[in-house]
Amino acid sequence: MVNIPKSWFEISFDQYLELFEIEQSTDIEFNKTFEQLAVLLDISSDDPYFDELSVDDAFKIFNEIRFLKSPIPKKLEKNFNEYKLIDFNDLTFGEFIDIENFLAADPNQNKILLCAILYKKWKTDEWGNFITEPYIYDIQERAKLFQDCSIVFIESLFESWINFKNNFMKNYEQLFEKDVDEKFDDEVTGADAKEQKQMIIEDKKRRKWGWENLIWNLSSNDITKFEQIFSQKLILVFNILSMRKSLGVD
Amino acid sequence: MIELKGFKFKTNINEMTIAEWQLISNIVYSEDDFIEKYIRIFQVLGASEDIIDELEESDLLAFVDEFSKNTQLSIEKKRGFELDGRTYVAYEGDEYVLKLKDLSYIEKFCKKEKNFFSLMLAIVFKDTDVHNHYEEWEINRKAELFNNLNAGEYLNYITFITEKLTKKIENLNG
Repeated sequence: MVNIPKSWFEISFDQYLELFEIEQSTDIEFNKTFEQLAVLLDISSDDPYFDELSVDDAFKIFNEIRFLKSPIPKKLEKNFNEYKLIDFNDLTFGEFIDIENFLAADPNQNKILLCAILYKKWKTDEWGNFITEPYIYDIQERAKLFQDCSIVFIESLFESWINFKNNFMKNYEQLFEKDVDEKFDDEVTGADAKEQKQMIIEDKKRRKWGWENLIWNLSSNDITKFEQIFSQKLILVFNILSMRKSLGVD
Repeated sequence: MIELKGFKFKTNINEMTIAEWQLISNIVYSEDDFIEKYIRIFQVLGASEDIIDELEESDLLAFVDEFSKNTQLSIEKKRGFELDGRTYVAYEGDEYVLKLKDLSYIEKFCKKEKNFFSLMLAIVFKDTDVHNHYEEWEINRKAELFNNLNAGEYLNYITFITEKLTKKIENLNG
């Protein structure tokens, strides 16, 4: 008797990544479903179980895993074991930069790093204030705790983060220059074409080193001040940047 | 079988090999014109250009009439057979049961291949002395070999699997 997951709530993050990879890798429908079934049952596709599984029985199982075709439901959890989800407004600038870099590198794989940053150990002090652990723990190690979490847990956090980030960036959009259109206009020739190419190259460079450049400016080109800037609240840093921008201070 | 202009044309599936039946099926389901299709079928059946040039409209109609007669396929699915000193087996219980693993490989190997009848049989019938049934080279080796099997004796597997696959896909999408 095999244990078949009945909903997205029973699918772990690791299983989801495997299912996603299979989904992207082939358009051969039965082969795909067969491979995905192996992932869901947590057995190899070479397992003797599949040598005996009839198509009729397999289709009974397929009917039970139809939920895979439906969107992942969202249910944001405020707690995870001894960890608590922090208020995103309390994020430090350093945490924000790390999240940005991780999600830019691999938005799917690195969702557990997002968890590792946003769920923290906590306590209340003698005044009853809520205090979270400092951002000095090994986040790769912390992330491993979330590998077996339900994908609903992970995706709910991810969606919540994206909503926060989009709102946040919108609030401070005056700080960010618009990206140069990467598409080269073929009709532009001569010196204009050269200038256009140069602009695209500069824009790529600027985007690649965007955060580093910002920190460099904030620290007045003093690398020893980086840590101090990273530990400042995200909102404070962006408010200062906004102030400097509106005062024309660079 | 029908004799036209001195040449014996096979018309019955039981007279054909898997490879011949596959080629004829590919032609029948092609987008060629009616006459063009039958000229190609005559070529598959071994008629020379001279014979084909001699055929008259009545010959074509006689062939079509004979060819279109429903042939009763074998109901019993062969459990296995011996070929070139090796034994190939499709099932061991009371009746043939299509396995998910076979179906997934049938889909994988047969989707775009023009010899999918023999490939399908190569997945269904396993060499009893071989363990890696699903290796591509093993499937291709058997498919080559099974091209010469009698189509009438084994086509029931192909119709069974195709029908099952169609029904299941409808069920899956329904």
